[in-house]
Amino acid sequence: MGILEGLVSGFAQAISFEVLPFLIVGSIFGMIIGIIPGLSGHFAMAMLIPFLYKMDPAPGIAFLLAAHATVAQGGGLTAILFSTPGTGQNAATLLDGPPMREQGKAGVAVGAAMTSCFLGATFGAVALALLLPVLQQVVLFFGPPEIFVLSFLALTFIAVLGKEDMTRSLIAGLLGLLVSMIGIDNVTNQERFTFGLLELYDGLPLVPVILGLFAVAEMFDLFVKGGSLVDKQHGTLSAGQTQKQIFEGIGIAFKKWWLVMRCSAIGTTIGIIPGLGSAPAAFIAYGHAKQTSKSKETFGKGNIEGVIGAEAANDAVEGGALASTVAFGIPGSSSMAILLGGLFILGLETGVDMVTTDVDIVFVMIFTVIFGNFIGTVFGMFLVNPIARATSIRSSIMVPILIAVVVTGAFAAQGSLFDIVVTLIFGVIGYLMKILNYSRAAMLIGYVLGHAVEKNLYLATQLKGTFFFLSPIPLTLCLITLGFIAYNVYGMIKDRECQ
Amino acid sequence: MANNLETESAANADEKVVNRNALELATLFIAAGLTLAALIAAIGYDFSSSRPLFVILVPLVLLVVVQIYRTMKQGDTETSMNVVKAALGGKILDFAVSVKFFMLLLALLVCIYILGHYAGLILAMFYLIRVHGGESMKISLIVPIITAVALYALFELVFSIELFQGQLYRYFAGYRIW
Repeated sequence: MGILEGLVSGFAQAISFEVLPFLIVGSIFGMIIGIIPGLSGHFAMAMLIPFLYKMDPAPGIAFLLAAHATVAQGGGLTAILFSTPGTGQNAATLLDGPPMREQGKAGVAVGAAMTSCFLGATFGAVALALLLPVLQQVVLFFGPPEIFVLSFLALTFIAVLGKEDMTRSLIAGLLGLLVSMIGIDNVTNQERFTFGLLELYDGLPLVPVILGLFAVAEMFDLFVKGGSLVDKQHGTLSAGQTQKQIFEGIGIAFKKWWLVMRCSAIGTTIGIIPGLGSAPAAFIAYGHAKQTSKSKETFGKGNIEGVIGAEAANDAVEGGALASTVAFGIPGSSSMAILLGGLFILGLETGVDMVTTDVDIVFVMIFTVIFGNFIGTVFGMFLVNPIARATSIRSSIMVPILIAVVVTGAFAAQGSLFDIVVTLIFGVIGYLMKILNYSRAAMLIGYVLGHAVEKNLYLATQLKGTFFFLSPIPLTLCLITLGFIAYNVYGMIKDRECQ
Repeated sequence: MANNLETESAANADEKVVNRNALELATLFIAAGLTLAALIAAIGYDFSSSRPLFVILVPLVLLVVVQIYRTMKQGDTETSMNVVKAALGGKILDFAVSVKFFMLLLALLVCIYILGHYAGLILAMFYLIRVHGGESMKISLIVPIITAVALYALFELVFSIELFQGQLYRYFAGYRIW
């Protein structure tokens, strides 16, 4: 399928009656999850995964990606209104959002943040569309040996660049790979770590693993902490005042279009690199906005450019992250790993097929990111006060409701009680990883990549022999991986000597 | 007064670090045991099937050992052992609450297995909201029922996914359940 054909088909599918309702529901759901502190984009996606079994590819992708796309918008809203970022990626918004609220300009900050999110996401999505012709050529150079080595490079990036400790993240990534090996080996029919359990012959099911690692682990955390989700409620603005200020904020974001473009470019570029994610992108963009501003001294005291820069970069990350996921099947973050899992469930394959044959699906993703953010912006602007009240729900009510949804989702995926058991086990593992600072993203990415790693290792040795990694591209990727680890270990040793 | 509060919060922070170290050490020892067992099991597999396992397990075992060494260096092993003993004796609050939550989830699973999905969820939610959360009787009844109805509408009516009916129902419906 050609790019123009894919674009038209993708657009038609995205606005069709089969897809649009799911896109709208997904966007609103993502926004509400984003508002609730402690629940993030991957939580929103994890909750929706069980429904994909009953859905066609286009509505399924729109449902999943729309929820993820609007999480950052919801998080930005609470960061400004309650000084509590709904998600970690909105932490940079805390620097200038709350000071603006204290100056009585909360609506202006919300309007600017929402619009910047939408513009940033659109920038990232357009960048992905423009990258497609390049990706179509590059992906042809990546056969089994290259993909095998690239998987380890991606895991290394995630381990080193993630916010967690490198050794811990590497352990998590390798554990994820190990867990993916459970079941019958497709090549030799050898049972591996099944303990004779019929339920494990096909391997550990994806949905319960995702729900356990991200959703149940968060439930553990909320249950242990208790209390309300937001400790302190700051006074919200009246509806009339809010609307007036929001439109002012929208105008300012459009006036500062060049700043939005620059910060979005930063976000998209960072999104392509596995492991970095939205939070560093937002801080780098914030730093850039401050450096290039004429009023540097007001940053941190309520400068709207700080809000615009951080929020634009936040959402632009998605376009870049999607590029590596769809082209190489290498997810750069836990959300992209869940998306990859969702694509498997929907019967879609990433890599050459995705960027050459299923171009329309890539464009459905692109339009979902754009429309989803637009819907989130409109929804957020008009319902800012009522939806912000979601933060005042006590965890004693929230936890049981979420547990009911998670358990039902885990069962519904395959109609098996065993899946609920797997969800609980991975919930405990996820909670332990969370409190001990082990990267759950690395584990999930390892788990999702496991099948690709094994398949490509087998094919690589069959095609090019044991020393397949000595071919030019795999060797280069191996050297980058080893060099990257060595450089970071050297840095750690040097730091320790300085201390 | 302020100094006392600062000293108290510093002591709490220290205690948290010690507890986390002990928990990490215990978890790592379990992980080391499991990965070693997996490595031994992998030796018995067909070479094509065990090759990717070796690629994963050899560095994994090494990394776990490195992390155990790092964690042991950060804290005193004897203190960690005492913390583990205290945790198992229910003397560490966060650990005890986590275990309680896990037990509640297991109880939920048993309820679903016996009574079916909806009845199990309503019962477990009522317990969590009323007994653990201390909410009013009205909220404790309304929230589980509304949630169950919403789940029924979403899963059974919209997506045509039938949820588990429970062994009790199956028994009375004439199925052989054992």
